[in-house]
Amino acid sequence: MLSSREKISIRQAVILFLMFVYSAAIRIFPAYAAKTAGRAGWLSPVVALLPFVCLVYIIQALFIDSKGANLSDIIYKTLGKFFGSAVITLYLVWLMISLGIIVRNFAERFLSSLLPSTPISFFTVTILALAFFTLRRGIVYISRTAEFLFLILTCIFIILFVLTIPNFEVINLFPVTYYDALPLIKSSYSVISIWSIFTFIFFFGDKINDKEHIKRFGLQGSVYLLITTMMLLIQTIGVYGYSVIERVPSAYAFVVKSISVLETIERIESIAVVSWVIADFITISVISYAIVSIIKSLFSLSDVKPFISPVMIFAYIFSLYIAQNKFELENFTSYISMPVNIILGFILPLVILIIKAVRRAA
Amino acid sequence: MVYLLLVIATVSISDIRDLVSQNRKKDLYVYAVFMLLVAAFAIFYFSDPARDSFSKIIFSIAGKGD
Repeated sequence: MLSSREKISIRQAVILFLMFVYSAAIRIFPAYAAKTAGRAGWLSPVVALLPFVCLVYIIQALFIDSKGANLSDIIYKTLGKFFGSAVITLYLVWLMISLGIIVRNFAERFLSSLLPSTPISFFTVTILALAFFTLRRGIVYISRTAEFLFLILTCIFIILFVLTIPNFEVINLFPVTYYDALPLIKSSYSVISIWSIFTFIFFFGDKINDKEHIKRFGLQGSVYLLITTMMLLIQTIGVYGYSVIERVPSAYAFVVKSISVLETIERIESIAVVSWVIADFITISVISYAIVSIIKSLFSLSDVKPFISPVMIFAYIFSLYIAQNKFELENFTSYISMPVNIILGFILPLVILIIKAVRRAA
Repeated sequence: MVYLLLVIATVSISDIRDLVSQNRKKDLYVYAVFMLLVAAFAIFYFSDPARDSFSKIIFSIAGKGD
């Protein structure tokens, strides 16, 4: 039983992370894996698994003696007030930029696949208003909702995968030779950059119970990620081949549109759209909660609730300001978001852990 | 822009009333600064929505712009 009704379990936190990844994965992985690793692209999650497992161990080690703390507290404790504030501010700025990108991507996905002539503000305001009213109730409500929606999302994903099996061409996935090793390492870059989001969940680590089980649930989550990411890549590259997938803007939607059940049930992409909305809602809620938690830690405030509204309004404006078109948005994701995610999600936690170990030894 | 500023004003009044009733002065000051920055950002963006985007500015700083 949880020690407080205001807190979530580490299992729920990992589910929030998995739903967060889902949204970005279907948008980024297929095209990037196809472009960099060709027909071997479906193996890129295997290469990315080892760094992710390392990240799980890093996070576990950071929280080993600070079970009631969040990541901001650990950064302060390790780097001191001045450098700690600088690093936390860096995380705050980056997460606010990321929130704008996620909100914009949510709208762009609808504009490019279903409702091209609808004003973009309609989508952004709707999802932000929904996240705003849910967040006012706290992270516990979001986690419980996510726990339930996670099952639906997984079922939809598996059903769509099974329905795609008749369209698979083995020639699109094989042969894979040792010449593919280097391209595979390159293609795992996008996977690692998205999986590094795991770190950001711990900015509300003070709201997460039983952090001594980070390793256990983190490793279970990594197995889930490995299987589902491989399924996603097999589903996309396996149906159309890497040369098509690397050029298609929304590869997953493109594949789902091709599904035909007994030549009677077709155009079932609306089911996939439902899963995107669910995943994006959770993603926006989680990242917004991480932002307000950072603001709370940075200014030593008593509650996060009043700061949800400025963050949401900022997200609305920034989602419009981030890019003038989808092309700019995709470029920003490839050239800026991915490396910064790796630096802030993987490298900085490792640096903090090393400094913590050195200070303890001294 | 006017509608957005009205929304900002309405939300601010509601949140500030809550903060004042709970006597959380520090939270109130930080909140006011954040909301003013957001309002300034709204005026900045909506005064010319066709201005160079954030991505374009970042790329030109990084030397990848056109």
